Amino acid sequence: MMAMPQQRHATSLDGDPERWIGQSRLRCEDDRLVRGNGCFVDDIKPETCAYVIFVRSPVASAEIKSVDKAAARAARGVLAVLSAEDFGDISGAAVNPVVEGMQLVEFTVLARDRVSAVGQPVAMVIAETLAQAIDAVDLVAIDYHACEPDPGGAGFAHRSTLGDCDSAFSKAVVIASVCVQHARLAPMSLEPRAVVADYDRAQGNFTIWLSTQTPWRAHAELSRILGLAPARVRVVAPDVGGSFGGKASIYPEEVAVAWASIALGRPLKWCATRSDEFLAATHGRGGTLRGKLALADNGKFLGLKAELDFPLGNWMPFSAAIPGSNAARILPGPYQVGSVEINVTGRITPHAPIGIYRGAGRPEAAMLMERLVDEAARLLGMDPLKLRSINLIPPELLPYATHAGEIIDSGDFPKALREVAELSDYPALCTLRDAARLKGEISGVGLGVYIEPCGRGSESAAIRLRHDGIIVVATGSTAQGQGRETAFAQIAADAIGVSPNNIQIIHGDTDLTLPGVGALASRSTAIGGSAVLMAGGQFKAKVAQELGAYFNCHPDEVVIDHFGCRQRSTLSAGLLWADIAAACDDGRLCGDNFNVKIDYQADGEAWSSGACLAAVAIDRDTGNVQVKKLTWVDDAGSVINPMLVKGQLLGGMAQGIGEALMESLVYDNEGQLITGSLLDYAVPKAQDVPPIHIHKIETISPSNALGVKGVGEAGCIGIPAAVANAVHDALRPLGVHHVDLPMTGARIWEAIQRATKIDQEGQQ
Amino acid sequence: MSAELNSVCFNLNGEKVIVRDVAPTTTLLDYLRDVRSLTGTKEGCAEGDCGACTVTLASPASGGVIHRAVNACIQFLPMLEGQAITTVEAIGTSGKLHPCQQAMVDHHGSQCGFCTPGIVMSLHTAYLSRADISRSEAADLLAGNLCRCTGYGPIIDSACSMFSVRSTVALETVIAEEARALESVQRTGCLVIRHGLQQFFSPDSLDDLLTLADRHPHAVILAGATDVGLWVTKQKRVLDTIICLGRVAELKVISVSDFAIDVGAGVTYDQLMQVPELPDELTRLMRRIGGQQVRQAGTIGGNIANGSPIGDMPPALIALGARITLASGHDRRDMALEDFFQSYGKQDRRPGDVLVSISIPRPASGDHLGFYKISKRFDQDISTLCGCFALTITDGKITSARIAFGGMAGIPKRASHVEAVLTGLEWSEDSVRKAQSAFGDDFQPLTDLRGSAGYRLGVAQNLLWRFYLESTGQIAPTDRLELGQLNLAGAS
Repeated sequence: MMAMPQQRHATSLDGDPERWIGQSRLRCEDDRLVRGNGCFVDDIKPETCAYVIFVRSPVASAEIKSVDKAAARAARGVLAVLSAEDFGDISGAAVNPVVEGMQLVEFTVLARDRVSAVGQPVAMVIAETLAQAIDAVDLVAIDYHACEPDPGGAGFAHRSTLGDCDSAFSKAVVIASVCVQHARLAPMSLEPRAVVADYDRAQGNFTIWLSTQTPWRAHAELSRILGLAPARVRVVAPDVGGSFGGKASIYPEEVAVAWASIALGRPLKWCATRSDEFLAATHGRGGTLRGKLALADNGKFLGLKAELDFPLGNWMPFSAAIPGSNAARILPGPYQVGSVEINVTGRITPHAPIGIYRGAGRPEAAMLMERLVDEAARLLGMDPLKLRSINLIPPELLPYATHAGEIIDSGDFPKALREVAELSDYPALCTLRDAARLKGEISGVGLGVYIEPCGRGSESAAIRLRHDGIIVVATGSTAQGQGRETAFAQIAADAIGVSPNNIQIIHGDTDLTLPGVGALASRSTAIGGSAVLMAGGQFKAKVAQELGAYFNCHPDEVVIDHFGCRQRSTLSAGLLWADIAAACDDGRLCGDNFNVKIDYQADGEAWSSGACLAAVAIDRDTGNVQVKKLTWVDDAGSVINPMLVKGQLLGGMAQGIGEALMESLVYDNEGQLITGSLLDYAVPKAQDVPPIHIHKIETISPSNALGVKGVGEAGCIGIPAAVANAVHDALRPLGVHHVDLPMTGARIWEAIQRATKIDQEGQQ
Repeated sequence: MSAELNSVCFNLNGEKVIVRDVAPTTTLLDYLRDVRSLTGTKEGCAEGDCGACTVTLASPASGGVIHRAVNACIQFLPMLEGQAITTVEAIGTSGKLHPCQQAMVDHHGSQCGFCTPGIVMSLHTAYLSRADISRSEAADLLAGNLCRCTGYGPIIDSACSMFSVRSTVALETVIAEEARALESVQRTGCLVIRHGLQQFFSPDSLDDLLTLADRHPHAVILAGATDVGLWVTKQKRVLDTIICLGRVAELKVISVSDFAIDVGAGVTYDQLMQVPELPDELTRLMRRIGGQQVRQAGTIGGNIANGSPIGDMPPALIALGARITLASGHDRRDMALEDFFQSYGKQDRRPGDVLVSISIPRPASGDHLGFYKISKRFDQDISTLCGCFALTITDGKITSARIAFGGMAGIPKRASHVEAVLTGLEWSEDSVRKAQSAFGDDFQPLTDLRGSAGYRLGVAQNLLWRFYLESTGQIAPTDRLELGQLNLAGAS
């Protein structure tokens, strides 16, 4: 075994650490995953399972004149071919009306009368084998009459203000102005969407294995849409191969498969292909954000005006309005700004829907604000680091109420900025940059400071003692790679006073957990973890109570550890956990008395924060960007498992690099997706991800019992902003002031050519 | 024609398997998952891009066994004849993980776990075939594996540390057993798999190959399947007749003389890269073609014969002055590689023709080479453009200029106007400036999502300038590989 720096167990005498929280415990999930024994939806194959393929619209906007299913129906092995008419007036899934006055656009399960985006499912073929289903797809004859796309229009619009922005702008010495065009991105989990639906006609029970972040949301929606008693419906999210916000809502395909399983009385499986994912899973970003920042001559931010335009696509997933509303509520980020005026709109467009891809409005807010600050620094002739430090909300003003009614609960933004500058040796880096420029190199340094709200509301937890003495903890939260089973076992172990080896974490199965929210919005450890902590405390108290009665002593005299329970200051051996479980079975103890079920409500929203620094070099011949240095200070509050936290940060960072430099989904003017495969949509590979130096600061969140904050999305928030600022810093001496995202070599090269041309024309 | 074999015989996880009555374009991935219920191997794209389906392929070689990592999603089952497949399920014991698995656990190299089996098998293949690995080599090793969760750093840590974890069974024992097991699946004769309307031939001699090609002039000639595989999995094409050259030993030969490296059409990228006489510039370019899985299956011949307009090898080989040989029955045709590419999607290959060899002249002293791949992503990306330069300089004068580009026209194409301007001039800044303007006469590139016409033309001109600076020693050759190595060495 390697000597692992992470495995520094502060051990007590019996070999266990005094506190499991804070330990880099290796993951209990890994043994099955590295052996290929993980169980993902496509690995589940009920007997008599049949297979589904969807026929998708090849055009962005058309009337459907007819769907001729006869030839496909007659093909070998085909069990059914379904189109909208077969589904009756089945409804779509609910949309969260998070913005007042929103126009809600639910999906139609299969397109009826008309299609509104390329890739929209129009018909489904069900066959005995997947190959037979694939063969029959081309036999479904659909008559499309191309038509103008629906004008679409606004899905939502919202305005929020603070103070008198116009007056602030009239007093400004400098007004910085920035427009950021975000590319559409693919969440691109390695496991495509997948569903197996198994309706048991005899019993009326319905089991749906679903690759999802939110099994309970799926449970509620599928029960409602299909008109089934919720008690008869079981949704299971087994191992889920990544999600990143792309598996937070149920999809039309999933409803169709579930419905058809009931109609046919057969288990059905549908696994999306990679093409299906690019075409018809939710995308992220895509917004156009314009901002103006007004400053006084001393650099103080007087006012922010922002116009945020978010595309929505052709239907709305549950959280369709979240990216827009998040961006609006997070601006102006970690800064004190005297007055604010933010208008956000969501537009319906003839493209795939936009969902809550990792960050969901947080990256957009950070990018706009951080670009504005750098632009303002340039106009003022002030160092961007200094300008930030003048305007950051000081820690003594936290908790801080914002224009949008948010309460930023905790953090130390100036400290994060200070530390990132110290760790990267910011002044030396700027000197190096200046020297490189004198040699003709194109290099730049950029900062990105961010705040990250980590969700509100509640999460469930239930604890019971199993017959074999294992303490089973069921959480309403879910896992798609975060290491939930490992981290939550550490929390439960500390709460109860046992070892994680005494604990089994159950998640993702609506038959085995209490109703919960799932994994979203970087909220799971903060809220779901706190639920486990609280439930563990209650479990411990109940065990002490019951065992106190059993030992005939005061509950305070009951010692609970990983062996079991015993009475303090006596020589009697006590009971092992297996003995306690046996005593519950034979009636000496009442096991039900140990059971804990809670729904933990967080006191408020935890806000993570941090600061990133990027240094880049740009190849003059090709425009290609090379990230030379990344330094990052993140405040995730109290940390449960540092190894897992670092893993989340690193993974987010890689996606942030992809967002900044290479990832982009492109539609042409006809609404055709021209980046529909991994050949055309560039996801970072090992060589593309730069090394990074991560450091943490720790301000405890007062918003939840654990004091923790989220980490899942941070890498997508601060890193792209820092890289964008570094690239713009590099290009400034060449007269380039704006490059759209992603900042590819081709884009940068073109921008340099344009600026050079303007410069030459100016000199003539 | 030699005797027919009507089944496919190979080893799977140490067990001899004989498969009969199977559609010849059944992929190894579907066979593993659906027929053998070995669901550890995952499907992430079915296009050979993501590597989630990576397995270890062992082939007999003189003096032992060659291990390769391949994408099971684009390997057709009959291609496995006489070889051995190891999947993720078979590398650890119930009590103990394989060192590469243990390293992944120790370094938090897995998050969601979906790409993990493929990554484990990439590491496993490396564990069998090398003694250690640097960070940069590890990043190279992983170029064919996508991970969306970890940011790769922890996986690179795993790769670098796994060699210090010894397995329970000595590596030599494992390989010796594998070699013995491979002997039991060696058969001679032409593999003929007929299924429905499909027929698949895998001859084991060049004579049989040419006879079959003559008899089935419109058959698809299959080598590594890194391109043809996608015709089936992505384009859903039904291939009626396939002739596979994977078992033809004569086509896997590389012979090196003082003047040329002669490469059989069945030689993979990876094999060619091992040739010490190969110019460094070409090795470095090839390092960026595909990922390990593609380079260990894909062949130089297949890349040329299929005439992919996006291939990076043809411009480099054209610049080097490569010639190819096509065979049809007993006839041989020899031609300059650039003459093979006629127009977009059209090559000078007649029905029944088989590309059998490529002859790559070796640069002489006084020759200067520069090969540049420009793409959005460093590894496994389609080039926006690929510029390849080969100059012969005698007494300070350019006596020969061969310049070829990919991504600038519908076919890989020489920059003959630029060459003409340069030839006879001194190799100087002034000559470069003169020649740069001639690119516009050679190329009218397209604008697409990878770059505009202006970008392509401008970068092509810049590359000539960069080549000048590098070849005259004014700057060090700086593709991103070397810079990447520096960065990775400093990773925390």
